[in-house]
Amino acid sequence: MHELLNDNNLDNYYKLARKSGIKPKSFDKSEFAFLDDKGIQEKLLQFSINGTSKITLFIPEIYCSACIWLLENLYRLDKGVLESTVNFLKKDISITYNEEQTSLRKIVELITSIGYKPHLNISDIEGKKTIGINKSIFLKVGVAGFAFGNVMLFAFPEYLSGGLLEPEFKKYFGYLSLLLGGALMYSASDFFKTAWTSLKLGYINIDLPISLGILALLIRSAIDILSGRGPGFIDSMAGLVFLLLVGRIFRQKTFYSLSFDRDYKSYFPLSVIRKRNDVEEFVSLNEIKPDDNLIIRNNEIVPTDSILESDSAMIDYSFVSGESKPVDVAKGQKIYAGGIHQGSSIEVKAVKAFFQSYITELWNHKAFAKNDDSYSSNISNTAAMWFTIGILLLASGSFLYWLPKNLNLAFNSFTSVLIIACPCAFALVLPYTYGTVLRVFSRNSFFLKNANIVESISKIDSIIFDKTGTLTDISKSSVEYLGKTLSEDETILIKSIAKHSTHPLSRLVFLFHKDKNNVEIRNFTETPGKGIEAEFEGVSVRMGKLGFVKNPLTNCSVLEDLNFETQQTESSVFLSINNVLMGYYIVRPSYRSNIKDTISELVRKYTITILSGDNDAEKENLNQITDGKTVIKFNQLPIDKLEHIEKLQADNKKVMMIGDGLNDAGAIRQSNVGIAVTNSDSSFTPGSDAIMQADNIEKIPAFIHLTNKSVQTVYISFAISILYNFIGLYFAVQGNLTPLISAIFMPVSSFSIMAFTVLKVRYDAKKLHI
Amino acid sequence: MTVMLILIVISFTLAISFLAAFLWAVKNNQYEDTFTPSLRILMDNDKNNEENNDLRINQVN
Repeated sequence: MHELLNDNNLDNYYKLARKSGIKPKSFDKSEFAFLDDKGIQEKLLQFSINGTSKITLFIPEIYCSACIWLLENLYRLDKGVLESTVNFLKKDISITYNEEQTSLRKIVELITSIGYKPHLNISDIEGKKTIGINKSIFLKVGVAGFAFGNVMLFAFPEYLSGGLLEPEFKKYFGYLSLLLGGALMYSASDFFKTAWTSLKLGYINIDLPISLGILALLIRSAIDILSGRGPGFIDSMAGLVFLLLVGRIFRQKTFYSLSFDRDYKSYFPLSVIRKRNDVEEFVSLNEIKPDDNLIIRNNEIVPTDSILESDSAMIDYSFVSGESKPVDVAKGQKIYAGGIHQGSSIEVKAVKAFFQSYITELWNHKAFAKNDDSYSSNISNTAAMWFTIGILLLASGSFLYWLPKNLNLAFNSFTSVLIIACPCAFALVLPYTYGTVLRVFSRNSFFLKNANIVESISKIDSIIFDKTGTLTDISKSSVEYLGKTLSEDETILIKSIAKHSTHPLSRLVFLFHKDKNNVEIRNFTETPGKGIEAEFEGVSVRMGKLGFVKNPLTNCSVLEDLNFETQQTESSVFLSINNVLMGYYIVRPSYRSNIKDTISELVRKYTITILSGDNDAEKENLNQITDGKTVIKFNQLPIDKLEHIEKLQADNKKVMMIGDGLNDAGAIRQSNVGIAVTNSDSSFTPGSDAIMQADNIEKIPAFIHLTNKSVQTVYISFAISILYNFIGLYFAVQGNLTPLISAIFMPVSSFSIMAFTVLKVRYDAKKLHI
Repeated sequence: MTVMLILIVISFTLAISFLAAFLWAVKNNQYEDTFTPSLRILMDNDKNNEENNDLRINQVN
């Protein structure tokens, strides 16, 4: 399969290379005209020096190695391209090109024509985001690992020779170790920095006792080595710094192709067609002014609040408001920004500039100013505070105890307490526990923004679900036909007619009958927003809204037979054949499988609320699913959802919001844990704390349970590490902590804690079948 | 025993050169993308090496 793809792509490539012109994707010639604009270019380009420019484009279609090959050979298709490098995980391509020989527009057009249309949206031109790896942590680990290895090499002869090592060597080894200790200060600099910042802000975090320990290790070792008293503790210190840094790397796992910080700006394209004096041109969204006439084509987004100029339109607001059904808009009515137009092109007149539209107002809400600092771990900070106070008391206590007897011993015991109490094992507990949970979750397509969210999840007591797209599956709607039985020929006819319409309901009717044969329909008219009518071999068929389908001559007796209720008209397609109303297709949202079990499991422990942007047509079904034990609210605007969460939080509730669309973005942001649900990896998700693959919703109870278990694991591990500390302190307060004891004790305690947390979390996950 | 001093110096220099190589690799962005190069190496460029070279020469000119 892979080979086949490869071969196909290669074929494509050869044709392209000879300019024979294969165009897998057609696009409008002027679609990328805005890329010639210097102002936009300047914002998109990473740099532009002496005619050489570099740009990074996000291309969701990069999915196979052939893509890489083709895209990295761009220079053969366009001589102006100097270099193109693909990053497969991030799904992006960095292109360096010569501005004299080619242009940004030409390059984008070229890669679009070979089938890789880059995602260019309005957020791209708003300040460059650099989601690179934090290089400095790798550098620090490198240095720490280097120091660790070498110090061990110098320390071993001392330990193994039983004190018989020649003094000459001792001296050299000591100095070299001390040198490496100095290098370690670079690796440990982050601990000092965070400890100092938190001290200045008036609280104590786990980095403070670590910093104290490291400093005590260095000073004590320096004095020991320089005065020739002993080999010092640099080996313990190197191991400590190295393990702690490895822990830091372990706790952060980057999911490259996911973005947790998207807002509405990533949802809008960069350009839109503006019609001015009958000339159509692509302009950047920022240039839209009130009273501009815009052309919106099928499946395009209406960029700003506007008035419809064409006769009628179908607007799908599902992403903005959560309404699952497209809305009919008539000429002169208002269309809100963010709606997706379905059907043939329409013309609209902008009422507001892009940044003043309805959808952008939500983002001005204070919830979006939430600071990421709120993610820091409470457990570890509280523990760190008591821990630090404890060891400082103990250290000065033993110092004062020995002081009258022996100054030397007093100093030794003081530093020894700080050294042994340095909470290495303690500090490794959180990264390894939460880091492992993060990995278990990601195996289940549940991606957390960072490890501390594990703790936030364990604390929640209320869960709020969005309905459309979260509890229901938008891609699957169940269609049911009610009415007179249809003959085989009639069904074939209906399918063939529905095939011609782009209306979403027609699509569903078509899919409902997709197993049937096809006939060629010639006589076909579609009245947008109303329905379709067609004639085939003397049979006339009308499908659509009730008012469209029935005329005074229509025989409507079937409606009485079906006990038809008028409120059902919204999502129904009526059908008449030869002026006889046959019945109607009713479209119901399809709920995800097992959603009932999931909710009934959650309802035992948590307050569940369902907020829906839809009308209450689904009330009955939802009540059945939830056994009537949950609060269900309909017709919720995005701001209503947000305020509902604020209200719960005012009652000291910790809220988890699970939603999918832009309409949930405010609520997701406001909640303590916001989870965005997505149907595919590449689809848009609003800014959130976590992203979840839609079919894993049924695992939510297990996920939450694992976070509770992991917090338990954290407490147990804390207890173990404190136990370790007491053992160590027993030696320390007596002032006879030797470098050898320290060198054995520290790694043993750290590694056992690491192993315990990782294995415990994995065991718990296995028991929960995730 | 003084031979050990020489050994120590050698091992230390070696270690430092490894560290330098690692630091260079990080600074050279080799840790930015740890996955794509593994695919890149599988791609077969040999089939049309001649064409490749021709084009490259053209480009330089």
